[in-house]
Amino acid sequence: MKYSPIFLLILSLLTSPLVAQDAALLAAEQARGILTGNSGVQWIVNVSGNKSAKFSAVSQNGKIFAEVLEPESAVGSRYLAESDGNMWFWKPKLSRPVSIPKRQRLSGDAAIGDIASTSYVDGYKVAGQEAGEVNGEPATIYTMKANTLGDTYAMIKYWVTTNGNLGKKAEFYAKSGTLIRSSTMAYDNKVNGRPFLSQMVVNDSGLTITLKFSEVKLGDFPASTFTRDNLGGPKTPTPGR
Amino acid sequence: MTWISLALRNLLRNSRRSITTIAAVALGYSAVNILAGFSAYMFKSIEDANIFEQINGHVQIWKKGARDHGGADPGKYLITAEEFAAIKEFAGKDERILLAAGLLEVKGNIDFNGATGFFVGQAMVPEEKEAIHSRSTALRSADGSTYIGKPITRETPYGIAITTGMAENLEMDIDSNVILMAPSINGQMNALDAQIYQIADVASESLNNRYIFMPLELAQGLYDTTGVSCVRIMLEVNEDTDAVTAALRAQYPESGWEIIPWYEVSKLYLRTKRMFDIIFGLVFAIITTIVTMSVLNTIGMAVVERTKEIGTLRAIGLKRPGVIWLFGIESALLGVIGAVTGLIITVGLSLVIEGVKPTWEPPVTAREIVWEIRILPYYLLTTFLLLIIFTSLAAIAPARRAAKRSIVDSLGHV
Repeated sequence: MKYSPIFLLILSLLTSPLVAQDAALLAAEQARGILTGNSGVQWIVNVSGNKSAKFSAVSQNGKIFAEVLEPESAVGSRYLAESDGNMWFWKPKLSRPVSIPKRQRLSGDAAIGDIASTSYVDGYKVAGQEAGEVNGEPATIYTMKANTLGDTYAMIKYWVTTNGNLGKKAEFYAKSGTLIRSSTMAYDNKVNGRPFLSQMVVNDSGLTITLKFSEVKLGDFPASTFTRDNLGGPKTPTPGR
Repeated sequence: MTWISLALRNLLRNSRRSITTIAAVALGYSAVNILAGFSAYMFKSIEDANIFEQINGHVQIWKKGARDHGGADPGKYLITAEEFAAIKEFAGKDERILLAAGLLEVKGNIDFNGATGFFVGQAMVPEEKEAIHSRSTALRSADGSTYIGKPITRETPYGIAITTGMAENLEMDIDSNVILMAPSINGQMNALDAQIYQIADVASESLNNRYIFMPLELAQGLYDTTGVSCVRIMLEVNEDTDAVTAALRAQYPESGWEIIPWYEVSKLYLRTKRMFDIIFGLVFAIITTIVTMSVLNTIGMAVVERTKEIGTLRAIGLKRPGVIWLFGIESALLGVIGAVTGLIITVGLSLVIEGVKPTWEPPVTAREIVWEIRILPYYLLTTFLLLIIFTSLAAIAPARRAAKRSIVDSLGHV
C-alpha cells in the first residue's frame, strides 16, 4: 500500500514528540546506568542513614550481583537478583545460597534495586507529561502507569530535566494513589564525558537513605557473574523442589 | 440414738422413695465433685503447662515495651548481656529462685532444599530449658513422650527442634539439613546452617506449623546479638510467685522494666478460670436446688402420709419441736447416706479413670493427652456438710406445718 507523502509527513510530525520523549527517557535511564544491549555498570555504593553499609554492585540486563564491603559483620555477604524476580543470598561459611524475598532490605536498609541500576521505565507506559521544574531546573514530568497489575508500583512520576535529560526526581505510587516512596538524584560523576549518577536520596516508609555511587565502570560483564555459582557455596546448586 | 434408729426405721418403711431420694442426693454430690475434680485437673494442668511445659517460668522479666513493640524492632528492647548478668546475680541471692534463664524470641524463614517456610521461635540454653520443662507433669501423651529425635544440648549448637506440622509441610525429618534466615537486629540479612534434631508437638494448634526451638547460641548468631528478649525465673514452689514478683518489681522499677507473673503472661488463663468458677457456681446452685427440692418432696409426702402418726405421737406427749426434730433427722439421714454414696461414686470413678487413662484433645492443643478426675478433700467435705444442712433444712417447713395442726385434726386425718 502506498502512503501519500503528506500523510507520512503528518505522521512523523505527530510521532516526533513520542520519539523525542522516548529519547529523553532513554537518556535519563542511561545516565542512571540502565544501558542497552549486553552492557552493564559496576560501581561502589556507600549507603548512609539509620545504618551504614558499603557495597560493590554490578547490574546488567535486569540482573544484579552485589557484595557487602561494610559493615565488618556482613563483609562477604552476597546477593543475586535475577531478572525473573528471584533473589538469592549467601554469606561466608553458609553451605549454599538461599532464596530470599526480593523486598528484603539489605545492609543499611537499602533495597536491592537502590544499589543497582534499576529501570523506572521498563514495564511502564507514558500516560502523560507536563512541564515543570526540579530544584529550580526546567523539567518534564512524566506520568507512567504500570503495564501489568503485578508491577511493584502502579504509577511513577519522573522528573527529567529539559537540559541534559537527567532524571532528578521520582515518585512511586500505589494503586490507591498513596505515595509509597520518592527519590532525588544527583549526577556529579562523569563517564565517557557525560554526567552519570553520583547520589540518590530515597525516602521510603519513613526511612531516609542516602546512596553515593563511585568508581563507576561500564562494560560487558560475563553472564557467569549473575549466577548462583558465583554467589558461593557448592558449585553445583542443590536442586530446588 | 433412739431418734436416729426411729428415723432410720421410718426411712425403711418406704424404701423405694427413700432410695430414689438418696440416689438424687448421691448423684448430685458426685456430679458437683466430679466437675470440681475435673476442673481442678484442668486448671492444675494449665498452670503446670503455663509454667513448665511452655517454659514461661513462674515470673518473667522484660524491658518495658518489649512485649508490645519488640516484634517490629527486637533489637531496641533486648536485655543486654550486662543487664542479664546483673539479673542472674540478683536472682542467685534469693533462695526461692532456682533458675534465671535467658530467652531470645526469633522469627524468620527456614529453607529446606529450596522450599521455605516462616517460623517463630524461642531460643534458650538447652539445659536450662530442660530444667524448667522436666518439672512438667501435665499435658503428657498417653505414652509419656514429648518429642521424637535426639537431645539438644550445649554441645549441639546447630541442633533445632521443629513441630510436626512444619515437618509435614516441608517434608523434613530428623537429621535434615536446613538454613535459618532472618534479618539481624541491625537489619542485615543473615543465614545460618542448622540441623533437625527433634520433632515435637506444641500445646498450641496455631503454632504447630511454624514453631522452632533452637539453642540460644544459634539464635544470638542469627540475630547478631549477645542480648536476650526476656529472663524466665523458675521458683522452687509455685506459691512464692507473688512474693518473688513483688521483690523483682522493687528491684526493677516499672519505668524501665516489666515483671510479669505467669498467670498474667496470657490473659486467657485468668479469663478461663473466671469462666469456670462461674460455671461451677451455677452448677452447684442448680444441683443443690434440685437435691433440696427432691428431699422436700419426699419429706412433704411422708408428712402427709403420717399425719395420723404425728397426731398419735403428739397425743402421747411428743412436743411440736420433737416432730420437727424427728423429720429433720430423717431428712439429714437421707443427706448423709446420699452423700456417702456420692462419695463412693466419686472416688470410685476417679480411680477407674486413673486406671483407664482416657485421652482427649483439649482446645488450643494439637495432641491427645490423658485426663483425670482429681480428689479434692476440701470440696468433698464442704459439699458433704452443705448437702446435709440443706436436706435437714428441707424438712423444717413441712414438719412445722404438720406439728402445728391440732392433735384431734391430725388423728382424724384421712
